[in-house]
Amino acid sequence: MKCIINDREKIVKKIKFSGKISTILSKFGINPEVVILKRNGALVTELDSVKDNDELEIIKVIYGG
Amino acid sequence: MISMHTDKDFVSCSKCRSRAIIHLPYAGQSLCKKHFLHYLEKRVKRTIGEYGMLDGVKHLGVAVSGGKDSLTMLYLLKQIAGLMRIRLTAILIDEGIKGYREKTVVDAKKLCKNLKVPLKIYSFKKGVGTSMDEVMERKNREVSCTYCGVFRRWLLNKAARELKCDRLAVGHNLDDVVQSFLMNLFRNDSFTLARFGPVGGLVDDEDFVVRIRPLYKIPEREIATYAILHGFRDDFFPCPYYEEAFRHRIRDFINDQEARYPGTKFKLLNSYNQVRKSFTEKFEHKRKEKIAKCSKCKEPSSGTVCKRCLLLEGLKSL
Repeated sequence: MKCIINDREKIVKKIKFSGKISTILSKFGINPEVVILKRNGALVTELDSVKDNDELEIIKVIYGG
Repeated sequence: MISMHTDKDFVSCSKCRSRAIIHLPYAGQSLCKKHFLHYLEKRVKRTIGEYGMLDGVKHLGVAVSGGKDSLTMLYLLKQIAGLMRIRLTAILIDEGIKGYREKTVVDAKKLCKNLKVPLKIYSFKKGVGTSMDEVMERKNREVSCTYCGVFRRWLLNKAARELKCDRLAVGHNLDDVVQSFLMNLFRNDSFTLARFGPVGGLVDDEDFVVRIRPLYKIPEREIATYAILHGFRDDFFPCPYYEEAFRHRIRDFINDQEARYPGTKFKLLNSYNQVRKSFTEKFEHKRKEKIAKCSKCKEPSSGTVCKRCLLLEGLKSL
């Protein structure tokens, strides 16, 4: 699956994964409290799942300042 | 090829069983778009009512940067203040940060136009005497937020007063409030702790425009979700000079605790509200004191020279 991490810079990763989004966040060390998630362009929760052909966008929204 | 998901693959809204777009661990529920929007709007209205933020207000200044917090706040205030026949004026402070503020100014102008709210833009360069780009040519990043914060508060107050606003709404959210609470607790700064409430200010002075914080009880992630759902913003980026190391650590600590123990931010807010009451009483005598005016700019000041003028003087000597 394609995983796009929108932080200060955009990082695109191709990973083999099927399962809960919270597991991916945990793998990448990302706190669900600071991100918004889009699966194939639609907002989803960290409790939703992804399949291997999905595109997951992890948008960091908490910076402060 | 993108895979197809059936309804079974989606987490359901705790209210109506449609597809959830956000999970709120502290509330033990997931919400769909409709119920999330309603949930957030209801809490903002309740906060405004609880603290009497708009009581007696005829003309409200709204500090707008074009970021997610201020655009969400402006949109919500337009709905609420409109019903109360309160006139709104959006006030945007352009700090002079090339490649950063220009993007958000476009979004602020767009929303103000859609909502038919007049927008007044004030620049650091013209209003304060220097831009943040110029400040950063002489100072390191660690102090950028100090300069920007002092200059912004000074110019916002001056602008709101000149526009004859009764009050000024600022976009501080729950995350900002609890971060500031812990930071000032660690610094033992009881005066700042006392004045950073939902309705700000400890001094009654005609030259001070009282600040209100309608997003006081709304977590930052929920504001970002609201902004995305309304199309105010779909990208989020920090100020290029933002490097407040202490706040970074406090923010990460609070978010880690929130992930482990959902509800931490609200518990911190409740603690702050209790602590604030004691500190407000402690400084109650200040309310009646006649506030000094800065000998240089004639704006309200706690000393003979205000912080804005002191910082400007310091820059000149470098």
